[in-house]
Amino acid sequence: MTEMIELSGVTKDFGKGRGIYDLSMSLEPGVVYGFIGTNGSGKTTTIRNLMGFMKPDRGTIRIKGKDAWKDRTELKHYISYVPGQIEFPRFRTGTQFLRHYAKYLDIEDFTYMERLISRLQLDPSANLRRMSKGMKQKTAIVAALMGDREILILDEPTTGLDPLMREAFLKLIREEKAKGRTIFMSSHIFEEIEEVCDKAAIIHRGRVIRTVDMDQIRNPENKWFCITFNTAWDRADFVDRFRYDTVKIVGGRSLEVTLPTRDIIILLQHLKGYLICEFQERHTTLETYFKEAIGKGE
Amino acid sequence: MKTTKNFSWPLFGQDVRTYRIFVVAVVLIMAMMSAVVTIAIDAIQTDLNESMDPSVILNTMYYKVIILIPVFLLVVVVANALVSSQVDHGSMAYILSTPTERRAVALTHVMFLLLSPLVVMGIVCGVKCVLNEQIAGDSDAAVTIVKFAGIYVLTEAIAAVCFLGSCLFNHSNRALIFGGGITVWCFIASLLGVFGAEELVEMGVGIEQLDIFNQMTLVGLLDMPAMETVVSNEVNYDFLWKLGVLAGVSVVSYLLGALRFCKKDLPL
Repeated sequence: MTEMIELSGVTKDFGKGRGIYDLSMSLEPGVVYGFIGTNGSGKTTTIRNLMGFMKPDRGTIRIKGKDAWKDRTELKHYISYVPGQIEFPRFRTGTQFLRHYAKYLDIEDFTYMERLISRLQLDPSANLRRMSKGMKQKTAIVAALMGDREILILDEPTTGLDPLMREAFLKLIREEKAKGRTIFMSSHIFEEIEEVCDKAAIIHRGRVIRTVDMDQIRNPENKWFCITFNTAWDRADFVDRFRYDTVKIVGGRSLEVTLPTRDIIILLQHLKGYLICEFQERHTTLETYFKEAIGKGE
Repeated sequence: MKTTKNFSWPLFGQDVRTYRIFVVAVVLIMAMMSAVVTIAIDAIQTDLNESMDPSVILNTMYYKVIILIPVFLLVVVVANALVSSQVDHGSMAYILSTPTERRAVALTHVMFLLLSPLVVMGIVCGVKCVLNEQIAGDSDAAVTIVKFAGIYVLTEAIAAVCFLGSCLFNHSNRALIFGGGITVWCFIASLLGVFGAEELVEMGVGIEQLDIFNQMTLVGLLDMPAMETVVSNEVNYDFLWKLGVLAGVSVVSYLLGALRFCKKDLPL
């Protein structure tokens, strides 16, 4: 068994086009895997199937070689989970909930829990029902991470977090990754998937339409530049001298060019002597991949 | 204390902590009702012959209507809250995301539904026995204990049906309509059936045709006249098979509910 999590042809059909269809993904141990999609695309359904809350109509889901439905209870020894919808059982304070939840996880040493509470600046003594969305999310994150399990399944874990806490959470994710944890994380926020994930799957209308290796985004082989010259004549002269197939004329005085990273020096040498009004590197982002994939109707 | 494949101590503790005040309130209400009724029965006891004794009406009403309201309310609300409501709101995710078998969740909740009415009935029965002795001068507790045992078995039948509804439906309101609807029907039919009871008809305050309602409700299987014969020389054991039917309803409903919960998809 080399894969930590493996979905193979998974289908869960609720009718009227709702559900997930023929989903196949695999996560190696120690990978942070992002899962991006529009509302209603099937992210939460996929996670429910992973957690054994639902049984697929077709296909198999294996986690650590075990069936996610049949062995769902045993697998919970290895999985920590942050649900997409935060609804706690009836406890008066966050502290009561966390300490009670620790009993289900056989946790008796609360050191790590206290450390997480401090890192996320959570006040767990607050009334659980009156907590803000962000406080509830932090409580849910503490509940999940305090189990210190080797697999994390997180359904939009940063919902409701302010930017500082979001950064604190992503730092925690990086630390979990450094420990060798396998993390499956759904999100709407492209930047955070780009920041921490190794791979990302784009799901649309219940199907994975593209899988992206984040290294292609962080360390692309090619760079993409947009250059605006002082005059159209300068631009035409440059195009005539810099004979690259990937040069594309844009507007009156601008052009776009895509070239391998190693050829940037050649571009800069050709630009010497020209008066440049604007020189901009355009990053290919996950959002670009996403919009392209959705737009193509893949 | 840990969780086993069939029982979860943390979950049981959670149930007790969540509903202890409700249970205490029910005990207090039932105890107060018992006190009021016992005093009233004693006060209206007349020298008229038994067939004209209005305290018979009150006594019948006590066991078949008055005492049932609070405990039925308890089991309807709790049975819905333990499963269906938690699935509907999503809080069940926090239990099932831990190494806790669904079977353990179901059986732990069943155990709570078995024990909480037992505690209620046990305490209220004790209170009634004391009240009977102190106020009515009736020191024979056997009939009271048998009657309360019968009411407990009836309550468990209702609780089990509500639990079944809670396990069948993921939406809390549908579960409540199922379990609560059946309970309300049983209660109303029982109320109407009281006035079809033989003793009330013989007194001239009942209507014989209303006895049909006693066949249409689980409460109709509570054979109070037969239970009252336990201290006599000629015991009518009919009440035993009727309680057996109620017990059977309990067992089947709890079992079906637990099985369904273990197998179904949960939108958590």
